[in-house]
Formats: sequence, C-alpha cells, structure tokens
Amino acid sequence: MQKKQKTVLTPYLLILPAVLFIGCVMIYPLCKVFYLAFQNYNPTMPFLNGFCGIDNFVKILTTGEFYSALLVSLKWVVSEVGLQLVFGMIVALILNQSFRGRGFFRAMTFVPWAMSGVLTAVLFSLIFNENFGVLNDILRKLGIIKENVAWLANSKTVLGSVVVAELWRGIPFFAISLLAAMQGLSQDIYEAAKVDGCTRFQTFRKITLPLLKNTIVLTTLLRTIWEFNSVDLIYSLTGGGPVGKTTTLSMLIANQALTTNNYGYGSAISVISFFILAIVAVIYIKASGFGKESDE
Amino acid sequence: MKEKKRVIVFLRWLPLIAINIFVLFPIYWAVNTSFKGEGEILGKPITYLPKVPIISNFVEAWKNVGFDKYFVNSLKVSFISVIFIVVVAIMVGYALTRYKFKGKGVFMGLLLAVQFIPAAVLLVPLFNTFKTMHLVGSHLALIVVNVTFQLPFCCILMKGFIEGVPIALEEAAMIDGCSRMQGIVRVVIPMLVPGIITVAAFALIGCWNEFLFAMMFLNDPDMYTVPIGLKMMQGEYGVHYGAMASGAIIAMIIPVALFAYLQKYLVTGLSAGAVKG
Amino acid sequence: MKKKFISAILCGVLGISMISGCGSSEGDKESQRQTASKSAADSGDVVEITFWDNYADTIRTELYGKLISQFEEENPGIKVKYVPLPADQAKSKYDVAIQSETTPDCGVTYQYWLNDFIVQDALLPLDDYMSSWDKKDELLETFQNSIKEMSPDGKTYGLAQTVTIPAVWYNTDIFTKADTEIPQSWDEILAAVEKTTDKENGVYGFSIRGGAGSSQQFEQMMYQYSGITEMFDENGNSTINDPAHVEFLDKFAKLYNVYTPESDITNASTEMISAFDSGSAAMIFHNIGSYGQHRDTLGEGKFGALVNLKSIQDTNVIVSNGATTLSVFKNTKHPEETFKFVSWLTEHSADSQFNEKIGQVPCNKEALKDEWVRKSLPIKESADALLDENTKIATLPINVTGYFDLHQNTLAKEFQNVLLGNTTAQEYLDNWASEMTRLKKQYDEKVVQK
Repeated sequence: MQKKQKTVLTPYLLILPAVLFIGCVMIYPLCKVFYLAFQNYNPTMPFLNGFCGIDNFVKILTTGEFYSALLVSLKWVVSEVGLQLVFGMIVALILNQSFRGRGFFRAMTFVPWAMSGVLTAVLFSLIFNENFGVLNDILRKLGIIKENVAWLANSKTVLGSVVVAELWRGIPFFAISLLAAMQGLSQDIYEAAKVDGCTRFQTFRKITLPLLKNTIVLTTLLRTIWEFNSVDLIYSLTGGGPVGKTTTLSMLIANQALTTNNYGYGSAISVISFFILAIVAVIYIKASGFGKESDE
Repeated sequence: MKEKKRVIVFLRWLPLIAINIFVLFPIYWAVNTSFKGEGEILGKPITYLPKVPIISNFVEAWKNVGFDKYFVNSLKVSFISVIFIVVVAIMVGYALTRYKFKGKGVFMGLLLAVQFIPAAVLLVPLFNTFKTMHLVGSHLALIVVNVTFQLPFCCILMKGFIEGVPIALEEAAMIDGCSRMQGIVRVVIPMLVPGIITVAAFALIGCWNEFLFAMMFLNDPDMYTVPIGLKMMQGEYGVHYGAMASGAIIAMIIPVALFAYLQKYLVTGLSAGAVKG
Repeated sequence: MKKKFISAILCGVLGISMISGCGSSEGDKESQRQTASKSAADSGDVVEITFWDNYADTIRTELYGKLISQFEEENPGIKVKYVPLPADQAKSKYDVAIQSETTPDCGVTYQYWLNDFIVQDALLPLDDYMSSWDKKDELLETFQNSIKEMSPDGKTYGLAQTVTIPAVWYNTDIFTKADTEIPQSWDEILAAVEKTTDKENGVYGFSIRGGAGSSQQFEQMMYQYSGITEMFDENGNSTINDPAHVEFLDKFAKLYNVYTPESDITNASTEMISAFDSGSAAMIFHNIGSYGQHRDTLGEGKFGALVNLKSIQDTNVIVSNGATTLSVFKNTKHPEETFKFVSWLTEHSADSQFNEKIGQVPCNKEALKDEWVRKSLPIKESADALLDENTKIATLPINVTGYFDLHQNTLAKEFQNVLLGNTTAQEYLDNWASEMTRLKKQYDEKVVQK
C-alpha cells in the first residue's frame, strides 16, 4: 500500500466534520468543567464564589461520600459489563445459527435495546414495587417468599434489583455488536474446523473468541464508560438510596450540578471521575493489546 | 440423531426461551398495566390480564399529553441526527482504519476522552455556546447536540466494523480497475451493512431517548420530544401508572418496529459481500 | 481517481456545512421574527408573553389553555404562550435559563425557590405595579406578607396563587376493619398506626416518606406536633432540635419497618401515595392536593383527611412551606403586560377556577368564600383554618439561602439513617439545627439588605 504515503490530506478531510462537531460543541464546556473545578461556584450563593485552589478536591477526598460512591460505581460497572457481555454472547451465539423462527427471536430479544433509562425505570417500578408489584405476587404464589420484599428499599436487594433492570436493557448492546461481528467472520474457517472434528466448545474457544477479541475489547470499553456515566435508571428507580447504597459517582455529580447548583464541587468530582476513566481506559487498552493488528 | 436434538434443546431452545421470558415479561406487564384503570393497577389481587380492558390511558397519552406532536418532533430530530452520525462515522472509521496519519492517536484519544464527562455538568456551558450561536429553542440545537454526543461512540464502533472488512478485497477491486471511491461503494459499503445498521441503531436509540438537552433547549411545547412527554406524566400529586405505561409503549413503538424490520440486514448483508470478494 | 475521491469527500463536507448553514439561518429567522414581533408590539399591536408552568400535567395544561383564552379575550392586545414544564425538571430549567439569561416573561414558581432567583437578580419587584392594581386587597395577607417579608430586600417578587395545606389522609375501611377510632391528634395517630397494621394482609398503619423530600415533610410534621411557630429563637438558634421534635421523630423512626412498609425508605411522594391508594397503608401525610388521586383509586367516602390536628400546646398550627407564586422575570420586554397577566391569574375568578380544578386552596380571599370550597371537606377545613384568627401559621425558613440545598444534599439522605437506626433522632436534629443556625447567620450577614 505504497499509495497511502502520498495522500496525506485525505484522512484529515475525512475526520474534519467530526473534529468540527466535537471541537465547536464540546471543547469549551470541557474546559469550563476543568476551570470550575478550582472555583467555589454556586450561582445561588454569589458571596462565596471565587477561586478556591484545590479546596474542592480536598473536600471530596476527605469525605466518605466519595469513596462509598466510588465503590458503588465499581460494583455497578463490573457487574453490568460482565453480565451483559456473558448474556449478550449467549444470545449472539444462538442467533448466529440458522433455525426456524430466528428472525422472530432476534427481533424479540433486541426489544429492550430501544428503551431509555426512564422507560426501563417505569417498567421495573411496576414489577419491583413492594405493595402492588408483580414480582412479589409471583414469588408468593410459588411459595418462595412469605412476606413481601421491598426490592428497591432493602439495602441487601436494592443494588441487585437495579442491576437486573439495567441488565435487561443492556443485553442487546452486546448481542447486536457481537452478532454483527460474528456475521463478518469467514465461514471457511468453521468448515475447516468441522472437518478437523472440533467440538462446538473448542470451535468457540479456539476460533470464535480470538476472532472476536477486538470487538469484545472495544464493546466492553465503550460500555464501561457508558455505564460509569449512566444515571437515568438509578435516578428514577431509587434516587441513589437507601443511604447511598445506589449512589454512584455520576449520581453524585448529577445531584450537585442539576439539583443543588453546586457547579464548582460537581465539576471537581467530574474531573476526578474523568481521570479515573482515563486511567482505566489506558490500562485496559494496553493490557488487552487492543488494536495492535490494525496499526501494523 | 436423538442426542443431537437434545443438544439443540439445551444449547439453543432452553437459553433462548429463558432469555426471551426475561426480556418480554416487563413489556407484557407494561402492556397489561396500560389497559387497566388506576384502581385495578393499585388494587388487590393483582390481575394478570385486565378485568375490563380500557383504552383511555392511550387516549390520554396520545391526545391530552400531546404525544401526537412529540412523536413527529422526535422522528424528525432523530432521523436527521442519525443520517449525519452514520455518514460522519463512516468517514472517520475509514480514515482511522485505512490511513496512517499524524495525530491519529490524539484524535482517537479525543474520541474516548470526550465521553468521560457526564452530560449534566456540561449543560450550562453548552447552553451558553448555543445561545451565542442563536440556536436555543430550535430543533437544530438538539440535532447538533445529538450528533456531537453520539459521534465519539459511533465512530469508534464503526472503526471496529470497517476493520472487519478485509483490506485485500478493496485492493483486489482496485487492481481490477476500480477507483478508491468505487472500491468503497462497491466493496466496503455492502460488506459494512450490518455495521452500518448497528451504528445507526445505537445512534437512533441515543437520539430518540435523549432527554436532558431536549428539556433544557426547547422552550415551546409544540417542539417537545417524546421523552419530555413521558416525564410530564410523572406528576407530584398524582401517579397515573396506567397513563405512564401507555406512554412508555407509545415511546418504544418506533424504535422497536424499525428494528424488527431492519434486523434481517444484520445477517444478509455480509455473506453476500464475502462471496463476491 | 484519488482526486475524485477527495472531491467527493469535499462535496460531502460542503454539503454538511451547507445544511448546518441553512439551519443557523433558520435560527436567525427565528430571532428576526422575535425582534419583528417586539417592534410590532411597540407600535401598539399584539404583545406576546411567555409563561412557564412549573408543574405540567394534562389537567393543568387544559386549564391554563382555558384561562389564557379568557384572558386574551379580555385583553386583546396580549397573547400568552404557555410552556408546561415537567415537575421535577422545572427548577433546573429555571436555573439554567437564569444563568444563560433566557428566562421567560413570567412563570409559576414556589415561594421556596424565590430567594435563589432573587440572589441572581432574575426577578422583577412587583411593588410598584401592585400599588396601581385595584384588586390587590383580595390576596390573603398571610401569604402575600410572608412573600414580602421573607425576601432579602423586603420587596415583593411574587403573587400567591395557591397554597398546599398538609394533611393526614386515612383509609376508612382499614380503620373500620381494625375497629379503631379516627385519631384527632398526633399521639392518637401514633397509637392508631400500631392498631391498624395487619401484616399478613399486607396492611401497614402508616407510610413514611423516606426518599426525596423526606426531611421537608418531617419538618412540617414536627412543627405541627410541637406547635412551635418560630423557626429561630432570640439568639438566632434553630428550633428544629426542640425536645418535642426529637421525641416525635424518635417515635416515628421506631415505627419504620415494623408498622410501616420497608420500602418507605426510598419513597418519594409518588410511591408513598400509591402505598396509600393501593390500600397498603392506613395513613399518609401529604398535602390536600392528592384528593383527586385518592378518589379515583380508593373511591369517594373510603378515605378522609385530618387538616386541623391540635399541637401538644393545644393550638391549631398550619405549617407552611410557602405558597405557589407567580413571578415576573427581569428580562421581560413587556413588564406592564406581564404583570397584568400574572395579577389577573390571582384575581377572584381565575384563582377560583384554577384551584377548584386542581383541588388546592386558593390564596384569594374572595375565592376562599366560593361555593365549591364549601363542598369539598378537606379544602373547606383548610379555608376555615386560614380565615380563622386563632390559627397560627408557621412558615418554614425557606428564605434562608442554602435551606433547599441542605435538605436535598444532606438531610434527606441522613434521614434514611435515622429510619434504619444508624443515627439517633437527637444527633440528626442537633446536626440539622447547627447547620440551619449557621446558614441563617450567613444569610443575615451576606444576603439581607437592610
């Protein structure tokens, strides 16, 4: 591909629209966040506003609230991304085979992907409700529980319940991405594997998984960022409670910026969470050796 | 033969049906709720089919709340956004996979990094940017925001899909006398159909469900989008679970229907291209 | 060939920029139209004003549509653009609009938001306009005075439209089944909570609001119980940690998860109301605005409201977190016309129509005497109490800058720890008191203009 060397301008033209969009819209707000992180800034308390050095960061790092939110974020992201990947993979593997009714099942399985967090919260609040929720009714009829469980209020069940709701709308992301990638794999290798007498599991481990590696790394990374920042579902289902059991870092930020106008403090938490994500992303990309082939 | 059947049952049908129950149950429940009156929803015992199905919840959502208008607005904003996103994402994806250029790493980093900050803290500065651009209160503001916020994710995703298209096919086409553009149109795009559908699907969902910016940028109820309509059904004094459930169903109809139709392209597009190559 | 490709891309980029160019010119047109309408207004044509409603639902949208067309008929020179905002987004929407100077001409606000807006210099003082308004004496002094007195510079920044009176709602069926008398005081309520609980059938005596808004609701309950009407003592210390409050909160916290549903801890108003309406809770504490909701689910006659609960000092106290107010924003180009509209909304006819429909108590004295007020029992009781000279009104310290943040950021979350028994009522209220005392001091020093 010696031709590549000559057309230096083309790639820049290709990325130009994207750069324009992101540059014009995102760069100023991003800079503003970094600027406000070093300010006391709350428009409703103008008499306290002004430069405050690293006060915001000191305050964040010395209150327990931050660490508990970080822990919840960690649990949330790991369980979401892990479970969604596993279930998404199962769905993709099944739907990648040809059988009668595949189109129907594919359409059905992907339905929740269309749901926003607020919508999902509506559906699951009808199910999880302690007093008139259907889950308690079913479990009672099956004799599994005697008294109604407060799924979204009991500190033991709340995180699990929210995780299930988010999992519900998260499976299709992996299922679709992995299925699309599987469709791109050449059938010849599978034919060869069959001829060589590989079992299904061997084929999966030795052929499918390595070929899907880039897709898996990419989707898990994107999903990690996405889940880390996702607030709508938690906000609508539990509001972060009880006693902060479902308050993730992004919930903390959203509360500061949207409900209480504490922009300075909220921006400082955002900056910290920015660096956390950056570090995670770099480590992840390095450790997985992602994109090496494509750079050759 | 029998054993093979058993394998198929355990490896295919059992997990498939289990997952479908998990997936479909909340939707069945929302549909069930949407046809009940408020008294029946909250009352005991819990009914698995509405005693007397009523459609007043849908009437309420569609006419009174104004979903008829919101629906059209959402369609408009989402579709224009998605077209922009897909075109730009293909350009970026192609540049990133087929070219080496200075600043590529920085650009990739930028695509990732702009996703690291939650939208909530960007809101006010973004609002000021749009004010100087005289875009506040227009659907265009929403389209620009949608495109910008969906792009990083979609570009990276698209890059992954274009990587999956063997470069050899394109080279072969070019040796056969195709221009690079022809190569893209005749070889890359057909093989990319599942990828394009996937990216478009994610973009559409992102745009269709976007709430925060729509809420803050639009100052005219005639321009509101579906998520704002949904939010308006969650009052402080009243509950209206039935109306909310029917609103939810209205809100999900378009993406679901569209996807039910498009999903077949996830499968067919590629094999056709591969055979030709 | 490469050139072709490059030119194709260039075309694409050009196309995109052209489309976005078109878009921005559309925006320009929009602003041109706006300026056009403004200059038209100056020359005596129709003036359009924008009106934001902080609480959108179908009933209100329809109602305001009706009221606005009445107003426009009476005032042919003014057109009103109604913009409904979802309840939980309204404050953020106003905040963002204020910071980017894109506020509407006028809007519905809560009195407890006003100081946040005044501090940012977003609102127009209405005193001058009121002096030439002949119907201003129709407004209930209690609230109109409190709006004036509670603002940092003693000016009036809002007209009271509606007041939400808190009440204890009870389910008559559950009380009959449990063979329990309807309580008349908080002590009797506490006793009845235990008697009406029937866990086997999923019935609890009370549903507590433990999630969003919990601490504000308990603040109302505690002051109603103690009968204290001053929020700060003569030394400027908060009265929230009064021994009576500690005792009251302690008793309630002990009910949680024993005589109340476990899910109470994350209840916002919606969940709490649905616990009551599903027959799972015998009583809840909420304002009288949920009347229509209970009627539609439980049925008329199956429930009742206790508005006039006696305090332990044997006094009648209404604890108010302020009125719902109509405010004019400083950025308005048409202050005269805008004031005309908001004042019209608080006059007898409009205020009466509005409150009848949403089931709340009007702040217009003439409207309080209307026929429909007499017919609806909880509203009648509230109206009587408001017009009765013996009733004391205790207004929560909603004007102290930071009051709202304190509730949202700290108190609501910590309240869950009180319910779970991790924090004692004493500790919780002591912290609350010291924070409130500090905020009040800061407010007096930095915000109040003498």
